[in-house]
Amino acid sequence: MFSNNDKISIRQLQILLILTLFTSVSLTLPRITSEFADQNGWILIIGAAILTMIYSYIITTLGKMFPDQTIVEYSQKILTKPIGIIISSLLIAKLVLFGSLELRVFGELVKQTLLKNTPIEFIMITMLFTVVYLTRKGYEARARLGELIIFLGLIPIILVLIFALQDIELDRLAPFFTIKAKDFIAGSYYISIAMVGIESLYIAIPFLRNPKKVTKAVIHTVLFVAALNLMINFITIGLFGSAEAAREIWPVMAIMQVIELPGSFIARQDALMMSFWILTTFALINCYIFFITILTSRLIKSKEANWINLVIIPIVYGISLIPNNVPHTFEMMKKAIQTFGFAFVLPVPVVLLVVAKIRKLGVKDETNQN
Amino acid sequence: MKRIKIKGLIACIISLSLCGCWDKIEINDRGFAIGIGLDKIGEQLQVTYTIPNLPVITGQGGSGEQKFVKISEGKTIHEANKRFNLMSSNKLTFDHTKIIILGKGFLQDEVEMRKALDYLSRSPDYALSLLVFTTDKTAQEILEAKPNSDEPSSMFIDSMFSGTEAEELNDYKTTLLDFLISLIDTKGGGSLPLLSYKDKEIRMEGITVIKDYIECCTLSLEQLIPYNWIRGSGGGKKTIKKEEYIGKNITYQISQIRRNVEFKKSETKQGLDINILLEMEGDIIEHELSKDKNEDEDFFDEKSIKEMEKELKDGMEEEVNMLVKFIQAEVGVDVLDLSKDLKIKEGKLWEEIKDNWVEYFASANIHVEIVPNIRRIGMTK
Repeated sequence: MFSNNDKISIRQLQILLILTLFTSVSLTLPRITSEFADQNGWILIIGAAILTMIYSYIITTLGKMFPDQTIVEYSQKILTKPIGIIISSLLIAKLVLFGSLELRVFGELVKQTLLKNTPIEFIMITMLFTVVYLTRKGYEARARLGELIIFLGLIPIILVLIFALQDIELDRLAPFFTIKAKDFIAGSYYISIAMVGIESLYIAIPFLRNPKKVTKAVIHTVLFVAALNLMINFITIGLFGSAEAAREIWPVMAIMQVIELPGSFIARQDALMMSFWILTTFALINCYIFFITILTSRLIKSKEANWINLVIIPIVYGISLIPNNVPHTFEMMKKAIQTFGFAFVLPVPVVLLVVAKIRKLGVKDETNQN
Repeated sequence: MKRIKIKGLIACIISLSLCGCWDKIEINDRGFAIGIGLDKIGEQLQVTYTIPNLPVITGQGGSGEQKFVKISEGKTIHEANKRFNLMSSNKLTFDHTKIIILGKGFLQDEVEMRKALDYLSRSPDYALSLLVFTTDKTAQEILEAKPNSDEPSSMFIDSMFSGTEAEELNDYKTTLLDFLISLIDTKGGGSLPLLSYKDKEIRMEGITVIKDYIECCTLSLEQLIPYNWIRGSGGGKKTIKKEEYIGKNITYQISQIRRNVEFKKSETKQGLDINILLEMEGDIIEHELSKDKNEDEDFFDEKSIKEMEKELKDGMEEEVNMLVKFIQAEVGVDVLDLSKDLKIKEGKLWEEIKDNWVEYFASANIHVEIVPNIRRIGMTK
């Protein structure tokens, strides 16, 4: 029997994190790595994984000190109420902005590749309503759906990509290790802040059945996602070369225009890839909307969170319509990542952790936690 | 009860409004362009489409030819595609496009080439895996050809170059992606298989070399034999499956070649010294039946084999070094894929010279050494 206490297991948290971390960058990752470091971009993924593990360690350590609270409550406790409210509001703003732009990217890609005659507004609204339906069902329902999506969405993507391995040419990944230190640092940093999902740990820990194991589990998850990203980058650059990968807006989607699935008579293989990818994007946008709802309800101390969805939908939809075109969307996304990306993964948790330690707040001994 | 009725009504409205396909196009109303030909006629771009007659091909009735060949003109491929609809009720579909043929006139126009390739890579309608060919006449001529085959010409060409059964020609096939990457990496250089139509047969006649986005020259079938020894099959991999050297009275069938390339900066002049070692494995498959058993040239002895290997070495090295000189002097494009080895082996050197690789390649002191090994001699001595 399924429990219905809105608590999730560590394994379910890992699945949700894999879906969000992977989907937030996977489609464009080879382009980003090529722009920073040409064919040596794979090294940036390792650098980004190390940085993400550091962020995860700090955020989960902070979260474990306040196992029953989200950032809304403990930031107010640690840094006074007004500052806490500002931090929570900024985090909500970040999630709204990123969620909106992700929704727009989703709409653009679906319109470009699958539904050319369908208005993009209709594509985005349909996705938003579906996302909100799940959001209203709570964290546990999200986790259960995540367990399905990982099998229906992510694993088929990986299997399909494996067919591309035979077409890889090693020379497209050469010369090796010619990356400059400056590019390595800049690229690793950018990818680490572009991988959205770690912030969800500010909110997820109170929903965990066993928060003690969260740090180790999250670090394992980051390593797994890094391995997936390395595979995607390796395959894409091995197929296209770094110059062509940097030309493609969605290089991973273009893989489907190249590979031939054995024995198949599928004319539009990219549509097949899209159908898997839509599932993982659904999980990502759902993550944004869900955490916006939770944060807002806790910030305004509302007992009922479902009505907040109805307020969020038009805001997210409205922002997603702001960019004039695809390049503008990606430009806004880049600016959003550069502006908001870093603050909540390192400075905010470090300040909160240090002040909490100084003020001796939170649970000190992990073994005493429930 | 009232709520149930309202819910039921909403469910019905949603089901009725969302199901079905309001903008459907029946499969019979689609024009699946299997092959596309691009020719430059005056100032216009001529696009030729081969569209299979599906009922005939699938044996489900119908009559007439196996394919329809339609021609449309425009300033761009997109415009030609749009004009296609003025003469056909079928909606053009490129989901199953297998080949693109570039005509002689088209290959002489750099701007048309760049415009077409940009369109093909920008549009999601065309698979990057479709095969690209050139012809010494017009693409229309090849697509209209009726070769001695059951299939339409475009499907026939695709099957000539694809699949494991196409072992002779598989190594020459170039996909749109391969061609695009080559053009980007070499600033407009690449090579494409050349097709011709003679005596009711479509055949490969050699390789068209592209330089600065236009046709530069052609490598003939005779030149392709040493070209394959040095380049290897499958776009520069280290081994080839089958190639032959036919000497004065002997045929040496090569089953494997290992290519080892060494690069170093020239000590005597500014440039590169490139040493290519080709180690071959192969069999003797043809000789002459001796007139007299006493004069029989007996291969069944190590000394004879060594002598034969020496003869093969001299003959092959002469051929291959002549080809290399021709490519350096006349072609000036690295169709030997030496840059691939350079990237892997001497990454730092590549980074240093990559912007001027064309000049370095053309002026390099390239020396090819061949080591042929005879492993089997057939069933007789």
